[in-house]
Amino acid sequence: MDRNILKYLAPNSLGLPSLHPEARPEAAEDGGQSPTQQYYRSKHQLRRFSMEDMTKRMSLPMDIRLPPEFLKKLQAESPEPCKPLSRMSRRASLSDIGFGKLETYVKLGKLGEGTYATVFKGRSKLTENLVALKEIRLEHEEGAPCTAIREVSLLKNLKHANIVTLHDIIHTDRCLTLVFEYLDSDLKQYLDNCGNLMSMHNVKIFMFQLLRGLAYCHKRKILHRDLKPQNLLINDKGELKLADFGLARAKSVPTKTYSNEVVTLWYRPPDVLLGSTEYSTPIDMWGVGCILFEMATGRPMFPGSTVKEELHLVFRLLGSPTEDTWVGITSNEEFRSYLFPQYRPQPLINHVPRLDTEGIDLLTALLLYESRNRISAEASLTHPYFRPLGESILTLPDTSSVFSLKEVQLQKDPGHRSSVFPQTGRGKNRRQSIF
Amino acid sequence: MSVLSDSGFEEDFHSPSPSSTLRLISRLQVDAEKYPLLADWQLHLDYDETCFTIQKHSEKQFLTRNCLAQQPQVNAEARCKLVSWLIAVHRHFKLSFESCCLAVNIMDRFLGTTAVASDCFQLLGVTSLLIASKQVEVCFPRIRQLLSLCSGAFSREQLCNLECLVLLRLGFRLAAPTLAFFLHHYVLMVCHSLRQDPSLYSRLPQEVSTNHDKTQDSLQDSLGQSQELSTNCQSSQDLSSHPGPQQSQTKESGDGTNNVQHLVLAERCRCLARRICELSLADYAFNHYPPSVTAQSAVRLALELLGVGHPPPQVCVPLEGPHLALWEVRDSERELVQGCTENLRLLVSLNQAALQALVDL
Repeated sequence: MDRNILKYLAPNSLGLPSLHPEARPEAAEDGGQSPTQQYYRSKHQLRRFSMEDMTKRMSLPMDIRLPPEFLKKLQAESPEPCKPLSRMSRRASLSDIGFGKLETYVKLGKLGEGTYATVFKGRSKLTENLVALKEIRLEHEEGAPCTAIREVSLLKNLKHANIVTLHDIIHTDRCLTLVFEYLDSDLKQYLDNCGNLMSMHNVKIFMFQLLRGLAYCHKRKILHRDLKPQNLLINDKGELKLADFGLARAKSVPTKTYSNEVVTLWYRPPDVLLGSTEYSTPIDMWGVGCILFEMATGRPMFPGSTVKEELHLVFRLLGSPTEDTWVGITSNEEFRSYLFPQYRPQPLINHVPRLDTEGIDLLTALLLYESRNRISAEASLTHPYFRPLGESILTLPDTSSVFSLKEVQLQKDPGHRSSVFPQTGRGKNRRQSIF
Repeated sequence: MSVLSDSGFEEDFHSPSPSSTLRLISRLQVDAEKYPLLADWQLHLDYDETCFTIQKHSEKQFLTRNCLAQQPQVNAEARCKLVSWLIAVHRHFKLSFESCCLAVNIMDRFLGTTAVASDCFQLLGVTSLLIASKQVEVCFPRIRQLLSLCSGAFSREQLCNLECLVLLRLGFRLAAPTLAFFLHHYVLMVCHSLRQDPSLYSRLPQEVSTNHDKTQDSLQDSLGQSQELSTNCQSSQDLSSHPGPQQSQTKESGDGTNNVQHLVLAERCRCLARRICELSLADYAFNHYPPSVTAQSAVRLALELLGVGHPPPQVCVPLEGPHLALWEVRDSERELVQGCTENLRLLVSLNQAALQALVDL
């Protein structure tokens, strides 16, 4: 029995007497007074179980997702496809195939290195698909990195055509490898590549995909918190996917204050810049506005390098906030301490002349000072700006790409050099962004 | 009273002119950090309903019923001790209730997969708390601090190894809908109801005196015995402690002050329900119920203890949207919620000292 029991033979075993004195109020005492406990205990002591039970329970397989085409292949090969597999034999077959094994993937080259992870381009021997392999070192002073824990646990719950797919998780000694679908480019690179002159029709399609992915997250109270062009991956079909959920977390308790140091400065809303820590889904929406501007003009909207400069750029364009546009701002100490000059709001159309009236309207609704007044991702999807994309795009299943509709097609970007999409393997200055 | 002046409530209670109502509202915004419910209230509830549906649906994948069934050494009593200790530890580190609930869920699910010796059960507790706070918090406790709470019984290496093992056994499935999430949702619904129908709490003073059930009577008996209060409840206590005459005065004065009253009541409901939830967390019997059911039952019981009973049927009808669901339980769940509420009532009566301070007006 002992072999199977998690046991460290530590002293001080049964009792838990060692809590810091002041951290020990009533809990231990009132814990003892459960009405039903007695019942459970006596029942429990009668229970006997076998060694076999134990081994079975210890070998539960990890939750592994198979791509649908692969399942088809599996079924085709299996002599009795309808016969249900027992848990043990299913596990055996999955690992026989190669899921959860590092040997299954061939490393093709390093894409980048971050503080806690290294990302490689790779290929799956099973499906021949390209993958991104993110190797995370688990041995750290404080154990497994929290960014890895959040990213994996959140992505496992997110299955959407506009969110990067986590195919597999491989645990080797001291290292965790996340296998993501590989997307060749990101929005930043895409903009560079088309000479910062995108077709306005494509802007609309990218924008819709961004909002679609974000609405899916927000409905689950997951904030991205670090939206920027580098985190929006784009493949050769023009599918846009949100990546890098290391800073995201399930927003289950909005009363919790978050760090206000998470969003990249250029896409950070002014309320967060002024130190607000009570934030919710609208913090992502400001960044969406900045990205719309950037796609339509080819340049970042507020490229400030300090908090002060960032705020100054915002106020200079959108006008200094007043009690009308931002209740409570005049008594905000931090705001007052900056002593910004008074600016009048400038008409956005002067700065984004290529954007149509509906587009300007959406942009305005995204860039509101009062965070709770900003339009939500879900509501934006039905904004008139997207009407040209048709009705059926609103009822697509979560996992279907917008390009599964005939009527949705990318156009050639006017500023684009040579081919429509960047070819793979240009490699060197590739900005892989899934850190 | 001095606390009231700080938050701007006191003077506005006395001067319900339109301008002061305006001022009050802007003050309320300033006070958002002090009154967490208020902060949420101000955010539009865009996704609340959808999110609730999604979480309610996914809680089924994270249930921990019978998680001790196969454990050779860990039993319900040991679990109760450990969870009570974890509740104290999460307060000590000022972690959110969310982290605490998630830690217990992680621990329970791990117990369902792996036999754990009693001498490393505590290690499993702190490891689960570490993982939960890494998932939820901005700042999580340091391993050194957690180990010192176990007075050096375990090493860093042991904790890190167990952390990896837990993550792998659970397949990194950590996004479990928690008691804290559902509690928050139902309290917001209460807030809605109270705001839309002030008669629910304007009836309050009379009902408090007539509507005592056994539990509350016994609670009243031990009045004042316990000073225990969670830090989170401090502000609402201060608010709710102002005398009766003034309360009735506020009821007559315009919308602005009603605004405050329903928030005060909802805030007290939140504190009490949270405390009830904490008690239930430590009791293995409540693993039987999905967190949404326990949370809903806790909120119902809290309202009852505070003297806000069920609204009469005609009150339900004109209310639209989410708040209806609190009072109208789906048939499939009715028995479960009723059973859970009764069990909670029993649990509360056994632990009345700890709750008394939250019930007193």
